[in-house]
Amino acid sequence: MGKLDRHWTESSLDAYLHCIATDWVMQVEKAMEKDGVQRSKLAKRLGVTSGRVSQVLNDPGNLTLKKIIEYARAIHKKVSIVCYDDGDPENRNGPVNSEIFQICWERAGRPTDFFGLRESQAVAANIDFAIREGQFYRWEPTSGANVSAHSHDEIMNVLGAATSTEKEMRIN
Amino acid sequence: MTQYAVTQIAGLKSSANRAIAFLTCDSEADIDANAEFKKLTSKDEMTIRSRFDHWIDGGVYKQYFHGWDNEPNRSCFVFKLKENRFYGFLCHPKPKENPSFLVCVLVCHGIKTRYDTDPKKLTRCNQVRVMPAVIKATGLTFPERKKEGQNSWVN
Repeated sequence: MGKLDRHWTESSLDAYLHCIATDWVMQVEKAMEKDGVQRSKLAKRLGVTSGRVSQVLNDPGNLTLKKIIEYARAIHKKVSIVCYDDGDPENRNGPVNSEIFQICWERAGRPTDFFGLRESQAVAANIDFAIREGQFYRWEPTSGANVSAHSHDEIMNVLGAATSTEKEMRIN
Repeated sequence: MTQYAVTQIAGLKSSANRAIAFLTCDSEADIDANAEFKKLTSKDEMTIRSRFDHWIDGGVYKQYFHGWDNEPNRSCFVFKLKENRFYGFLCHPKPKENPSFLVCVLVCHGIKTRYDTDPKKLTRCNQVRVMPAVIKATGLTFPERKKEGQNSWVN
């Protein structure tokens, strides 16, 4: 790969592809581990051999979009492709890990449409306002703001509704 | 006198929280993490670079890398790729400027042949971890600087 003064994914298109493909494999492997899905079970669902599954997961550089979707659906997940601007146009720091996007989405209440997104933004703004005002309220998305004050610990529980991944990170 | 050098791995994510480097020493053959890293195929190198980046990002996945909870190996760390194991130690080389800044200095390479870790590799990492020459080499690669960026702190 030679001397690098930028992120290694900037050395070639293949390197970038390998990085995001490896990232995808990690998502699949983590999901399989969490759900107790063995490679043999995944192979059965896909109608291929376990060896073929290992081959695909161990050599992610050859992944196609079709294969990505096929495997994701076989573990009952979905796939979205996100194009984003992280303020690093020269790619000095590589792509943002997909798990970051997933955790942010989960923390936003897993919105599945723009209405849900707006509601989660309103919740966040309300909590932020309450904290700035020094008063802590629990926001109930379906019934509006609850006017009774809650303890700091309670509101931090609301704010810190940790995903399983985050809990794992804290433990480690 | 044995010369040690600590070299940050080029091209990885740049972070104020974590970094990864290789310890090298021409006269000690078992300090071979860097040499073995260079022998990896292009694909394997890219895969382990992704795992390095994931650790720098603060990610957690024991199948790719992990430390140990028990003494005396609490400061040891390993990155895994297929049967390859890159063993090293963790340290905080900037206690004044950035106390939480964590560096993984990779020391030696091993091929996993059995379930449990080869204790010799961890013992070796622990040996070099406390050597003054290694501590000095780490400090030279990750120097403490005052915020104005003018004068270096003495490591």
